[in-house]
Amino acid sequence: MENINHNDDVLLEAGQMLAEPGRDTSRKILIAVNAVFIASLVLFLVIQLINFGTLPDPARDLIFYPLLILINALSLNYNFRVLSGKTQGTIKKDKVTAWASILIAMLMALLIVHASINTAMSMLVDFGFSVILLFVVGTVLGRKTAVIWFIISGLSLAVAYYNIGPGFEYHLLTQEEVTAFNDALAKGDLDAEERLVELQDKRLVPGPILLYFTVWMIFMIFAFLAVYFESNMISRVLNVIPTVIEKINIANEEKMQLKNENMRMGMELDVARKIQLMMLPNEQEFVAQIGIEVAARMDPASEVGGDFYEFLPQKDKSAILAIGDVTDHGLQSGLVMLMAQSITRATLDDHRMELPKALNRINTILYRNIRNRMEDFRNLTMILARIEEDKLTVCGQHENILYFDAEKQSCKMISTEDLGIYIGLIEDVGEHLREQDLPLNHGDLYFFYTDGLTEAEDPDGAFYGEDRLMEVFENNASKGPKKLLKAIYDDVYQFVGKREIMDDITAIAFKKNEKPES
Amino acid sequence: MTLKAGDAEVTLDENSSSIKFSGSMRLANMKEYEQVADFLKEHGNTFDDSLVLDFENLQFLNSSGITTISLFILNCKKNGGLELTVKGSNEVSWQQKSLSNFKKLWPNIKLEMN
Repeated sequence: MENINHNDDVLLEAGQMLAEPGRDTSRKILIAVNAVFIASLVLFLVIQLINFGTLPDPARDLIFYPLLILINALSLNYNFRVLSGKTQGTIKKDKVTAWASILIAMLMALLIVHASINTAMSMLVDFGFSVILLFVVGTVLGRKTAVIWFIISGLSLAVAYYNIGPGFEYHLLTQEEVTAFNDALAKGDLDAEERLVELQDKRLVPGPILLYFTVWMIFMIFAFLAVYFESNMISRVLNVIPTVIEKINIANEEKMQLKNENMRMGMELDVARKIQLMMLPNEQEFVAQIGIEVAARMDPASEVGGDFYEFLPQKDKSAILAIGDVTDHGLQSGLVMLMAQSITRATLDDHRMELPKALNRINTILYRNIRNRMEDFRNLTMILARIEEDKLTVCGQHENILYFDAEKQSCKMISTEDLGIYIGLIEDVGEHLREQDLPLNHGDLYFFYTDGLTEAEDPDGAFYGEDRLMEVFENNASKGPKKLLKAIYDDVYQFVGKREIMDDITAIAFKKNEKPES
Repeated sequence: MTLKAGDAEVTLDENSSSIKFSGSMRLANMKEYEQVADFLKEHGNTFDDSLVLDFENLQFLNSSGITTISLFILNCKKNGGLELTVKGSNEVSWQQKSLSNFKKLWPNIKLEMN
């Protein structure tokens, strides 16, 4: 089984393996084109000078040919250096050199047919270069350019045919007739000289067989090199195909494994979310006998964060309230939340106990379960509270508690910093736990929340924060728990905007009923 | 020696015998905090018997991060022999509560709030 975690992108690798021979092939063919071109141009100049002692048009050819040689030499130099790894090629330079070289070759292919001193022979011989070039263009510049060249060279052939005329027949002389003609020419025979002028005029100047032999040899080398590199590429591609298929299979397998893993994690999160929401109290349970109104809400993040709240009305007419936030996310956090809820209930439901003692017991059991059974380091911050007829007792370190004093019509933030420490991190937190009594008069309201609320982020990553929360609280606390919660959640979501919430947002609020009219 | 952890940096400062935290540290979970735990474990003993954890320039640390530091402190407490100073700022809200918690976990810690 392949290791799913290796970082190499096998598909990318497979793609490169397939592309590699092709990339080299175009470059090699281009180098061959440049080299053969330079060699044949030089050869052409030498043959011209040997045979005729001068170039057909010295003024033009002394600029034209060296320029073509220079461009080809530049392309040859660049592509050779890239191929041998001496320099890093760029796409732009690749394109410029390829197009410049091929365009020159095309130009020459057209010129040798139409500017020849013997049109008939140019159709028989020189047009061969256009045919060979068709193949080179296709490999170096692609199919579309090959089509264009096919059309251009076809037209070129048609034009040559039209120029020479459909009735033209090419008659050859025997070697004896050629010798006789050459002898007459050497003797200064007027008829012969006149005949030569006419031949020049009709563009049918006789050429030596060596010239045609050389031309075909050059064409052969041209075609041979292109075919050589092309077939080399084909065999290299065929060689890598089994490895490429293997790599594609590996990539496919990895994709399937990743899909399964994603599905498993998705299911795990689903389970975690269900656990978390399942254990929350029903709204019907919010009916206590001490005349309070309760509202609570939890919005789990997509990766659930292990928040919880609890409300347990007691036989002695008090009620236990708890809110907590487990560190980290996912199934394990959900499990710790589930345990925290169960242990809280097991410890305090119908069993009156001092809150610090109860919280320390919850701490110790959680610590043992998390460390020894789950082998994990999750812990939580939580508040345990007891609501009675005329007071609220709180214990545990958590976020600040917001308090609305109905009589004074004022709001206050109550710190829980000195009431405890993290739960489930060390085995005994007894010495750090303290409880605090808070007033509870008619109309008073208390609001508890988890840090998912104040640490909700806007699209720029800024926190919602306590100040903004306090402002909304001040404006809405007198309206009662339900309306307060709605106002706060509405404001948070407006703040968050389109950003996904990163942590559970949990809040619970309760209000002591107004004093009955007497 | 510097460790980049999301938007935060952890730096080993030889001159002040300290490990300095800066930026805003909100890695997603405990697993992502392993790099920070490893950094502390690896460099915590660099200065023989004393170490300063300097949080003054750390604007935010989430609960997984606080757990990571807490576990490091508990480990120092268990091993003993290290004089640990925690530096913080009263200006930064998370530090007021969390840094005094560190002292609760191990009362031998010297807490310096500026």
